[in-house]
Amino acid sequence: MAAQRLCCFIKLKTPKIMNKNIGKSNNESKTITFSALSILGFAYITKKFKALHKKQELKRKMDIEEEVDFNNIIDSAFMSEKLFDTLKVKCHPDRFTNEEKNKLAIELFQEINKNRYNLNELEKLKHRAIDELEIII
Amino acid sequence: MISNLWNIVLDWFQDRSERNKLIRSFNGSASLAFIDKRAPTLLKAKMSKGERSYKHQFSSWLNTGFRIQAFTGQPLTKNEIMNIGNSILSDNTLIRKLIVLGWDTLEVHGDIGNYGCKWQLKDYAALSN
Repeated sequence: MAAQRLCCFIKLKTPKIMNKNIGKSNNESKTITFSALSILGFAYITKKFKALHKKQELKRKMDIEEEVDFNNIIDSAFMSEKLFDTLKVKCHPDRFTNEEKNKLAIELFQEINKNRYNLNELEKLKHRAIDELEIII
Repeated sequence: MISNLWNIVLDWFQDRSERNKLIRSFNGSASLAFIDKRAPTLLKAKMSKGERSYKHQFSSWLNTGFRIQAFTGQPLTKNEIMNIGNSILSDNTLIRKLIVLGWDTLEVHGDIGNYGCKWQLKDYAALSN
């Protein structure tokens, strides 16, 4: 009887013990997989971040190369009109009877009209007009 | 999928910082010009709501207007507004930068009065060049 009871006890107890062991191993495997996945995820994110950082650096380089001249824009807003008006009068093609100078005046006049709101370009054209058309501005 | 979303989020933050940087540099040079007496009025750039009908494919969700306010103490004449607007529109690099950063409208107006001008940036990008 005692042996039978012991057998029953073992039968009843063994599955529970077995289940406990399985639970322990499951927990271990879960932690291992979780840590592996987290390492992989971290590696993926760092890789992506490095790639994006490179992209941003390239963009920044492009920005430096193509810097907008705000000083010229603001100066042009208030000073280009006056210079344009004087150049328009002084470099008008009808003022030049000489064929060579007339051609040059036509070219300059077109450039002046094109860069009407760009002070830097107008200043350059003014110097060109003084040198090539031999006029006083 | 995840990387796309990640890129969108990063681009949004980056564009936002670039927009602020551009506005700050414009305001910096405008104030310098005013202090040096090169400019008779103080210009100030800021973001505005923008014009809905001027939208293009790169337009941002919010604040698509690049507004320039001139502090003159009196209403600006149409000629003055046109000069300020045209001097900005004549810079092709700036226009392209504005379009890429999500702006679609350029607005110029004074500090007094309701009168101002609006331009559609897309028309001045000179895409054929």
